[in-house]
Amino acid sequence: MKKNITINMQGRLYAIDEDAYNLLKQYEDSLRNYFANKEGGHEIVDDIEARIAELFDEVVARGKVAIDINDVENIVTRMGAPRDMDEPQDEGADENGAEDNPNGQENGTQTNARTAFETLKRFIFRSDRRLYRDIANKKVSGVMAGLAHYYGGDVTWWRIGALVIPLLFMMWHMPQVVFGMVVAYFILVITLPPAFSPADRLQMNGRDVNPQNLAEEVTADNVSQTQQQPNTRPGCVGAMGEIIIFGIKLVMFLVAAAIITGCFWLLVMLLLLLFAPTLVMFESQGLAFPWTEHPWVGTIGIVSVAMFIVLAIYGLMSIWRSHKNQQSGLSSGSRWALALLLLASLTGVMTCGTIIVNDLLEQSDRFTDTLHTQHVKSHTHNGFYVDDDEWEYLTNNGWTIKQGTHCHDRYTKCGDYYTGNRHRRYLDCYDENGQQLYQVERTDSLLQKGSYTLTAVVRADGPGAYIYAIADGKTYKVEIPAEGNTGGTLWQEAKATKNLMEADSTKLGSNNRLVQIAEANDGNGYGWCTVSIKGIHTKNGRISYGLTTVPSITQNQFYGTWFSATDFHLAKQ
Amino acid sequence: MNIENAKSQMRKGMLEYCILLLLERQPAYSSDIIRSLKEAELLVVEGTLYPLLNRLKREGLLQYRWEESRMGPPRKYYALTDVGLQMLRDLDKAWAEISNTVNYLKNHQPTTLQS
Repeated sequence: MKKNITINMQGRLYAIDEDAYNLLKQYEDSLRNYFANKEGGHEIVDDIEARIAELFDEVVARGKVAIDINDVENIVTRMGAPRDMDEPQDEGADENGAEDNPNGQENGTQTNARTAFETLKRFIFRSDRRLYRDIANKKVSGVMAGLAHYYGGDVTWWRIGALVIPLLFMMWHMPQVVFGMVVAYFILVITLPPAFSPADRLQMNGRDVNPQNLAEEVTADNVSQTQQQPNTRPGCVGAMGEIIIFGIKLVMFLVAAAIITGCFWLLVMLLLLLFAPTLVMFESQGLAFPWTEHPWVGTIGIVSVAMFIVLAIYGLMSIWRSHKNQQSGLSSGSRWALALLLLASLTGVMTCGTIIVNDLLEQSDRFTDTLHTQHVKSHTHNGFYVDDDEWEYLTNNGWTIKQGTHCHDRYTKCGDYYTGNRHRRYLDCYDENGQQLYQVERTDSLLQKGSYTLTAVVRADGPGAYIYAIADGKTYKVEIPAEGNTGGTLWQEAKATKNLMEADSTKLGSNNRLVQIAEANDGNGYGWCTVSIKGIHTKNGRISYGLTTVPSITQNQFYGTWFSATDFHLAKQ
Repeated sequence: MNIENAKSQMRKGMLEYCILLLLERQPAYSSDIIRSLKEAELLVVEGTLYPLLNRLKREGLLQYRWEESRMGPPRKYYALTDVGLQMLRDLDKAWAEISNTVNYLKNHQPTTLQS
């Protein structure tokens, strides 16, 4: 069904279909343009119009009520193009002809590089045609079809390339290129004009816009429109293609929505960082964007994001509007402006975004470093790293690690305390090769002058571990008996005493320390025994003592794999 | 050299002469002229006629008057002027001359130059 209008030609009215009228109008306009400057041109065009009216009369006389597109096409073909009408003497004037390409002329002073550049430029920017989106042959938005028209080649190859090349780049771990291609596609969709009118389609294909070609285009348009319904291909391939296309459209819509939403949130976050940093969730880590250091970055960032959002929405709306009105809404100039501004704002967003993100990451790293340093500080003893429990024990009991090689960061242990208390910690060290160089020491000062005895409860699985004391520059030491981790003299004595007392029918409570020692390790003991050093003289009231395997003190070597010590006690003799 | 191009060139040259010939027989509407020229296969594109008629009128070879028509708009009715008639006689002579020249070239062998 077509819209019909009434036109007045030479004072008579004719009913004519709208598409036929459009073609006729274009034809007459081209005639008027051509004959505008010629002598008598006005009269010539009137004569031609009169002739056309006569031909319309013939059409009506044959019984047709309205002039249709076929009639106008026939008439246009019969009358001919303005150029063909003109007289031989005018053929010299070339006002409608193609411009002589000045670059084609001989110029001996041009360098090879310049000609190569010009060739490249001419290759990219075709002078004989325009780049449109071919929405008549579109699958998604006609970008590929338009590019195929502009640069040649079958559109299917362009589409295959458009899908395969990003996949290749993804495979080569270069998602930035893919992102760039997606952005380029979006910008093309927004900024390329759709080829709506037949004149547009002619220019898209590089064909001359004259009445004959226009007539052909309009016919082809009608034909393809009427043929489109029976042209839907049934079958598996067609259906899958439809699904894929739908999928691509859906993905594109989601991507566009995601980009715009992402930009919106980025804008919000930037503004928050600027005006209310406390609200941003990073505050717990003390993060904030340093506006003072990078005043330009923040400003450009906000401006770019806002501009991008506005431009993208404007571009999408203009596309929607032009589809509704069936004509390309924006002029060529504004399309170029839109494309450039989009590109600029996107560049701004990416640059500032990268700078900001890097800055925040750096801050986060520094903060983690600080935390780590603090953690490390709170967990080293004299430069040796220990965990929380050890650190607490060593600190609370005044111990200092003076040496700790091959100690695997462990200088204490709990679980085998001689009373069976599994939570009671003691000095301990294990290395499967027995290579520990261990020295843990504490100092009692403010002692009275005199002689002291040092006692300790100890155990080991090999000779060479010592309890030592240093006073007035003199070193005292006693070796730890290697009785293993069961039995031990401490346990033996306790057991014997317990048996005696039980035989004596003295009631021993289960909390009795003797009982505990005797029954430790399911009654097997943990290998502990007591050692002592007598006659430690001090004049200045300072005695240092501890547990060690360091040869410079022990004058010996450790031949076991582990040793333990606890309950150090200094008593004045 | 394409034969169609050559014929087209010849036709273009002849068109003016033929219009004058037609109008000498009797005055006519432009549509009549078109029909006759098409029958004689001299006209391919109708639009060619109008600039030509316009020029001939401006040069004073033709004149027209408006004729009312029963079922259509008024139409131009063309006729030769005295100047046009004179031009026609001159063209007749020119046509005869050209025709003789062509016949002469066709029938006579070219003389070879003796060194």
